[in-house]
Amino acid sequence: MGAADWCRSSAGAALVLATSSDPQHPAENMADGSSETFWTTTGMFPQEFIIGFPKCVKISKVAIQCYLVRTLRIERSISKDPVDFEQCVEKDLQHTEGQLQMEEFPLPDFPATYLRFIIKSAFDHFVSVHRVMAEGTAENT
Amino acid sequence: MSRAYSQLNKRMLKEAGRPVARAAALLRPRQRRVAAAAFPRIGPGRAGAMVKLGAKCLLAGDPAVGKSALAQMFRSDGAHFQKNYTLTTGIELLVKAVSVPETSDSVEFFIFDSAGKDLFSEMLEKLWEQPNVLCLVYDITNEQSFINCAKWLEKLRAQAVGMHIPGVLVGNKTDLVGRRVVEQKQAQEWADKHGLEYCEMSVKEMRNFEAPFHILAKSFHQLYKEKVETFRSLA
Repeated sequence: MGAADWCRSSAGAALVLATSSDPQHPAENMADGSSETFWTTTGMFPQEFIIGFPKCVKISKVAIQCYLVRTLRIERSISKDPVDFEQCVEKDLQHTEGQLQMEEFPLPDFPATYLRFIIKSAFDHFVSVHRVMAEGTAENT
Repeated sequence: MSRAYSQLNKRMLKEAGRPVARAAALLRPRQRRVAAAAFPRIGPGRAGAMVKLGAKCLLAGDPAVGKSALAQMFRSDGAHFQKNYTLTTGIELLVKAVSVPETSDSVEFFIFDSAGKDLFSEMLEKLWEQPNVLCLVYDITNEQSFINCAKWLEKLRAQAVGMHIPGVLVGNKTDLVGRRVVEQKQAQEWADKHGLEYCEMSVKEMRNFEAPFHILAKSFHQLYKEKVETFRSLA
């Protein structure tokens, strides 16, 4: 398989945790391949979500489309269950008035079964995450 | 094995609009399927869908104006009035949810009841970070406590520069009719000037003590709705 986007539900990805819930803007909206639908946070920070892959994937790049996020941390796990996360990257994003923040994180050859996104702080009371993407190849095991 | 897993995930994600239930979150796939069935599902866009917002509420004002009395009374739904004064040192945290009128949504307040004495203010700064709403209390029989609201507001607003923080100015002790020195009109004008809502209450007589939080819940909920509209317009 090529460098597919593993964060899509059509590729077998599943949202296993999200710390905020608005039934009109569910976490699954981040994995539907569309930037029009989104997940919203509804409370104080930090906020986080965990996305699980159907198998271990060797990640090459992670990307996120969001709004009003200030500090973002990405962690990964290679366990069968969503535990034992280790940090991949942490970054302070720029505020982009009126347009989506589009961030890419090159993560050369990071195997992962789960990715965890922690929004540590924000530019406003609430943030939205429209899409997450992870490019990589499935490990043949 | 991975095929079965992916099919299971597909099935789960087909249940579009299902909130990711916190309790079910960390279960393994097979358990998750069971848990998902046990949680009530709410379809997207359906009337009656519920959102619970979380708000960090900073409660501030001079010593002895009734901040802790208000917080205790509100948390206990009027069952508990503090008869004896105790000086709050540092911060007390109280959690209480209120429903937003005319919606099925609610706001859960994390009320940071702060010490009024300057002595403790340095260590407060850290605990005051990232506030969502403000509740500023003064005593209508104590002019200095009203004047000092400017100082408190400045300190609170410094915690969230560039952000709109809904706030309410609250005049307490309306039971002490003959001793009033701060007129309602004067306070209302000051509140308007600083972008605050205004209300008066008597915690002692259990009059209007829920009003500040209902006002804040409404403002915060309004803010959420506006923000969601902004998010929607971005795509």
